[in-house]
Amino acid sequence: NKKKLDLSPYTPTEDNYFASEQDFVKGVNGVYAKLSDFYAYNINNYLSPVRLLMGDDITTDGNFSAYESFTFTPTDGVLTNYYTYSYQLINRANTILEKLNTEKGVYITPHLKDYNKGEVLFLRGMTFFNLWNLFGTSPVITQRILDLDHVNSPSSAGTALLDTAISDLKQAAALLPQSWSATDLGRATSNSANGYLGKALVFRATVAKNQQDYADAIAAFNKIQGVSLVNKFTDNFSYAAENNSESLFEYQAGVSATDNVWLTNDFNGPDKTFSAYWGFYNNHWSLYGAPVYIATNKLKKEFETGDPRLTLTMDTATRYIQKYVGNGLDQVTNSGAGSYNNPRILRYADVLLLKAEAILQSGGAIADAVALINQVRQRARNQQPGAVAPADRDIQQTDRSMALSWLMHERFVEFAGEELIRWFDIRRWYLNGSMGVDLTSFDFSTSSTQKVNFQKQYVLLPIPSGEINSNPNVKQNSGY
Amino acid sequence: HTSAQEVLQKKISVSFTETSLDKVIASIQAQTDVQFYYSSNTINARRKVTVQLSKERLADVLYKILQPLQIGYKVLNNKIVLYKSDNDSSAAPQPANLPESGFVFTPVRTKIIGTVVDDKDQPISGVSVMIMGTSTGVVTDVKGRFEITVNDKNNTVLVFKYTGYKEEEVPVNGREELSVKLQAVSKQLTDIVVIGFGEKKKGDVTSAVSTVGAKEISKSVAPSFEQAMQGRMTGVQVSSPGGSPYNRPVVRIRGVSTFGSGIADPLYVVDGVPLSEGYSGSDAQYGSRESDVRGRVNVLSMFNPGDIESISVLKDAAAAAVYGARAGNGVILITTKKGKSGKAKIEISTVTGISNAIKKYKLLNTQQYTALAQEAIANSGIKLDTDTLFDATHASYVGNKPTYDWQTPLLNKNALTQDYNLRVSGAFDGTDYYLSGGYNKTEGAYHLNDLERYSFAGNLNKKLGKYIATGVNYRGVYQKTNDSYYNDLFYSASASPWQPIYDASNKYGYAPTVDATFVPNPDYSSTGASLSAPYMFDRQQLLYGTQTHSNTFAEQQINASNYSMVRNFGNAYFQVEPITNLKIKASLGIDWYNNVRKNWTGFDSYLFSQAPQNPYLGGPNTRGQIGIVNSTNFNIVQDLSATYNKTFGKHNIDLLFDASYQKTSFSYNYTSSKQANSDDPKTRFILQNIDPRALSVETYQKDNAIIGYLGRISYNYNGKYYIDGTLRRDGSSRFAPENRWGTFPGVSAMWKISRESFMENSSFINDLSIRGSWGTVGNQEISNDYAFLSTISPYPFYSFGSGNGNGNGSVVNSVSLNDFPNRRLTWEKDETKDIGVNMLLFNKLTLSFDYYNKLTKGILQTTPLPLSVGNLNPALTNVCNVRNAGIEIEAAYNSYINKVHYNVFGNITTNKNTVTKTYSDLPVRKGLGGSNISVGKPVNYFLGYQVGGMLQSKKDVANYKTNVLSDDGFTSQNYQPGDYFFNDINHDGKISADSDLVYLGKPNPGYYYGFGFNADYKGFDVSVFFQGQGDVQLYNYEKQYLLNLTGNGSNSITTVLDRWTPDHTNTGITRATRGDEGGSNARYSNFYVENGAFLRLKNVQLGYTLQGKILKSATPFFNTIRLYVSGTNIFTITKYTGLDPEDAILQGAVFTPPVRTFTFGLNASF
Repeated sequence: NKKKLDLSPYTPTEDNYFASEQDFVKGVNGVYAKLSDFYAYNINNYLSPVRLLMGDDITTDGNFSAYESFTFTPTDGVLTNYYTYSYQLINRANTILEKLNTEKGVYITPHLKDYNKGEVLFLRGMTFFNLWNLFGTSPVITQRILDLDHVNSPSSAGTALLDTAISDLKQAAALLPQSWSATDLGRATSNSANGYLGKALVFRATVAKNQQDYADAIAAFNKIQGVSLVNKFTDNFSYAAENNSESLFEYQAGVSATDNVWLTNDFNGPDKTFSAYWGFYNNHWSLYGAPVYIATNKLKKEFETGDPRLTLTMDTATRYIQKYVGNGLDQVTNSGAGSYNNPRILRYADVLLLKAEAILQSGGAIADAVALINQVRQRARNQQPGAVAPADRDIQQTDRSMALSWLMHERFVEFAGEELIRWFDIRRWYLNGSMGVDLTSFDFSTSSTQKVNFQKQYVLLPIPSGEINSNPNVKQNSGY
Repeated sequence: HTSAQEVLQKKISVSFTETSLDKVIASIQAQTDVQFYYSSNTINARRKVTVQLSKERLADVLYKILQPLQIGYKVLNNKIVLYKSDNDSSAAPQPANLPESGFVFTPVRTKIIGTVVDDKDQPISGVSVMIMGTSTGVVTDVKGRFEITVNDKNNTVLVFKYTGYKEEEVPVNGREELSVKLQAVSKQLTDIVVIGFGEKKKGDVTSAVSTVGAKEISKSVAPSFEQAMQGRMTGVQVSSPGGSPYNRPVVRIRGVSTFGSGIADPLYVVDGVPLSEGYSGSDAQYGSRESDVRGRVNVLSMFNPGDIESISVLKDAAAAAVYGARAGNGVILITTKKGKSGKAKIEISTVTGISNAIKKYKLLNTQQYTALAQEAIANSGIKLDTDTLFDATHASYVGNKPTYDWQTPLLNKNALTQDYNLRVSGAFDGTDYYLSGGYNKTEGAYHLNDLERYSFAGNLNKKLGKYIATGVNYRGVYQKTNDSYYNDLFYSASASPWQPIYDASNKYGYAPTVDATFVPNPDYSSTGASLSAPYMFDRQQLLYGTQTHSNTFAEQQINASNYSMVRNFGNAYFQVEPITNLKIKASLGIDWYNNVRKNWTGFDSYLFSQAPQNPYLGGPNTRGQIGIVNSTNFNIVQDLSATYNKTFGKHNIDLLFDASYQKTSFSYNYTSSKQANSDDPKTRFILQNIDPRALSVETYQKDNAIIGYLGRISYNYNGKYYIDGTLRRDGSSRFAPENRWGTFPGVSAMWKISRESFMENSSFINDLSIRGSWGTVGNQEISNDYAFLSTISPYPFYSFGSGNGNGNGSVVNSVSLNDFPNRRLTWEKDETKDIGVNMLLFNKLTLSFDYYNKLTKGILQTTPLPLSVGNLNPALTNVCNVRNAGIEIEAAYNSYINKVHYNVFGNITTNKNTVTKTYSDLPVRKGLGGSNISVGKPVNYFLGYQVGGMLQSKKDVANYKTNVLSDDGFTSQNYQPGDYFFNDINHDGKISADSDLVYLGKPNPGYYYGFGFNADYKGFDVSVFFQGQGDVQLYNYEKQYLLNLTGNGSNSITTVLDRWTPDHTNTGITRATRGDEGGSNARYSNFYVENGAFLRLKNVQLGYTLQGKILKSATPFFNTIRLYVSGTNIFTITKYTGLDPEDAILQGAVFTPPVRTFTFGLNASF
């Protein structure tokens, strides 16, 4: 009689799911799918301010002035979303990891379970890496939370987030395959993981001044195999050349039945969006009056005369960014606002320059580092037949700090307008304290009318009030 | 008068075989109208006689019967006296010995038995039965029976006395069995109150129960019964949904006791069947998809109010505990009409009426608007592309254009209300029956906004012998609802005044809103895997500026939205009484309703839209878009109960045990297509010819079940001390097995002080009772039936495999686990304490008083888990508590002035609502706007900025910036004279949403009331009824939106004419300007919060009942005819400046302006 109360929903539940390999693969796909919230139009609440505006390469006036002038409030919606989506991704990763760890005998295909686990760890590691760079002290959560008694995770301290990222990426690198079949292009590989692992180690070394991390970073970078710089610089920003030989990891923008950019990817229906959004670069109608993002004057001046990358990066008259949206690079979806064009999250040029930095900072051979820088410069030069700039740097250079400044310049112009690079770089160089970057007197070259008054504590963004107000164990970063 | 002597000549017939003499005499007496007198000492009236006589003279008849028995007779005046003759006629009484009034016999002690009932034929216990002129008497038992021995049954008069009833003096007249009916002076104590799993006399009810009867219900003109409760009961707040015939009123019992995910509506029980109804028509809480497919029509409108006998509201936990886990928000019991003893009664009632919206907005004309816009542009310096509209030198200048009234055409002038009911009922030989048919058509305040209902009901109850009873009850309803209006008055009012509605040159006669041209879609393929549009917009230009409004009137004609609903509701029972007073009853109830909603969007509707959609999405030949939602609710209730009642001396006991099981299933399928092949209303929904690629289908199903066991004991000692105890145990499928079962106790007690000896002889206190109750009930109504489970969402998408020129790759399926499955989830628990006093004074004045205190614990709600937990779907938890406390006072005075009977009544309820606990004492919702929840505050309070005043001069602006806003953070705002300044509450030099918001009010009234009077005199009757509320605030969103000073094209109310200008500074309305220069005058602030108190003359009714000769001369067969006129919403006194102060809870979600209704009605019966 009491059995009459055992009713279950007409959709699968956790209790009866995960009975086949495919179920797990779908679960892993769901972790990837969370990335769409970071890149989608998001009802005109795209998260690009977080990724692009804080550095000195891209600027805008008006709406996102907080990201230009470091006048954040803990209630900032974009920041809150960034934080929320990050932990949603971590939650999904933790859930699938829990399922993978308790799975017995469902997997048949050799290695697939390792691969799946590696993919999830990679995505989680990458997310922790970004959280450390942005918020710095938010909680480290590596177990799925199922119980109201355990919902209040404490703040983390120091490099705890980065440490977790390094640990995740290290495991992922050991589990993932070097490549996938053509239909699975876009999944994380051991190259993705080693690239991110090296990057995270260089970051930790920069702020902790820790030689072993540089050495480990170089070791991780050396494990990367089968990738190379693409000949055509703009292939790094073209919808037609996604997942190319230079690419280590991308967000795989795609399109649903109608790509309804007003509905999130998690919407219960076929019309949602998982396209990317680039309208802030080409002043698209979908901005609805929000300001366009343009290159800073500082960036424009930073290019060496004759560097072909200048015009591939911006329209020199209007300073409109050309990456991703330049001639023929972009393809909008049927929504008119969304785009197929994958945001490149990690590319080999980044690895080369990070490796050069690790070599320079850990006392390695300056010539080795300069050679890596020159690889990037040579490709740049080749973009224009007969171009002489940017010329190769002097391989005989003995002034380590000069070589370091070359490296810093190269990163600035090579990756300008690409996500989460410039701000992360100047931030860590500032935290290092002896790399000649002082953000408190820095030229952010903003076109916002509001002055930048950078204070030391702004290296950490405020923890969103949504977290502070509901979790007594999380402390607000100082200054907010 | 015929004398007995004449009677002796009258011819009569008698035919008896072996029948006692007294019966024969009685028969003769009946035929002749003559009294027979005899002494039972001398004449054996039980002697059997046999007699067969036809049409013989009485004298002959008497001779033939009496002579063999040696009985003689004498005629004295108009009486016939029998005597024992013994052949000796001298034994006969001599006329001289007889007193004028009759014959004196030797008294005989006779036992007389009888029953006392009230005017509803219900037995009354405790009635004192006295022999007149003596101190001898007895009291009736629980079945109203009495036994009394009298000396002379012929000449004894019995006196029947009972509090609240008219004293009756009944001559026995020789009878040995009496049936006495007492007329209630005041029905306060004797009305039968349905209490859930039974009924009681009002005077015996020990807990807080309010009732309203058929007479009051018939005064409400709404097609649904909820509004009949409005203002008529304490503790029951009903907020009417404006002039819509089908929007659902909000009903709250003793305050709002839940928020968040818990549904705050009470449980409705119709004839013992609890409705599980998904709260259709109201319910945004229920999940947006589900409330969308259920649609807007209130499913309770499918019960014809004309079939309702009474509505009882169980308010305190002791009363409601019988419904355990579902009673947390109170229980409303609907009892339908049944056949009553007596011959068949046929009743006809008709109502016809007209309704009109009471108020409209006063809006600017085109010229006033142009001036406003020019001023806003000049003041702000901000220009929009469409500002050429206000530039007198430009071709598109609107300043000379006419003004179009967008409100009047939307409103349904003299909207018709029709209601017809035919009822046949009666009872005979242990059978009662009731049959009814009804038709109602109610038009709404808007055109094409109506409800049409056909309803049938029938019930039959049959007693089979003494110990078996059975019955069935069925009602069937078909209801059609037209919901084809697309934008409300509020939207219409904001249309640019120069935008025309009609255009004779247009195919439909309406003025288009957009100039659009199309080009072929380069991606179009007629054979692709998915459907694509052959054409796409080349250009689309709104014709009347950025605020061009959709032409609602054209959309109404081109598009349609209709509901058709069918409801089958019925129950059947079988009852046996195996041991005297033990009744075992099994019943089965079913409530099934189906709602089919059809939406139609015609191809051409894009021409009249504010945001045109490509009409070619359905392919080259599409005529429009269709949507069909077919949803079904199926509800089955099984119930087995046993009741036992017994009286031992002065101890009266009632016992109840009940076990029930209820399962509710809800399902829908939603089919839609952008490709309809026809625009013919008959064929456009035919799906066969639609390209399968253009069809979209969605199905959904869910169910829940509850098992309940109930025990109740009611005991009273001599009608003086009462105690009732209830215990219910419920199991619900909505919670995890380990947290599924709960126990809900309720206890109530009453002391009827007036029955104590020291008060029994009080001349004016007829009744005085003190009640107290305590109990716990639950609320399990949440939108998610499976919240304790973790479901798999098949929905996020991703793609892999892009590269080498393919930018898309291929879409892969993925799943996500988004829930926070809280297995500890359980129902909300409501603990109620209630103390009450009832009084009846002078048999005329009834008073009742209640104090209630209800604490709801563990409110089912989505808890703001830290963002770092990372679940997409919020966690449902039982965390918050809210307390509702207040008093309820009700009074009625019932009396006569000469022959005018009148009744004055009033009631008031106060409610103090306070959130007492939240998760870690953190606010559940706190921020600018309404719906705030935090500890120590009422539910859904408003939080906003506080206007400090108006900046009148440049100097004021400078002072404000230096003295108040000293920090540089937010002082860059370009304050100007004519702007408001806002108070910096925490004096930090910034005006911020973090720290400068203040409490602005609460949407739930602190008190509500109703009062009125009824009077009747010689067939005329009048009733007047007022209703209102106070201590309530409203955020006037109408003002917030329509008091528009930006000149952007959206029209404004004329209040803006009073705006601040350098020449007109003595005003509370800010200057015309654009943008957010002054930090926005239009921000959510106390400027928009208004007093929501109102007093409304809700209903006035004047009736005349045709009586006596007038009736007889008018009609040969009607027994009664009553004609009446009635007015509803006659006037409202309020300070609220929006259209409807009653819109507090709905807050404009489904805004239909309130209407004033006049009806003419006729009730007749025969």
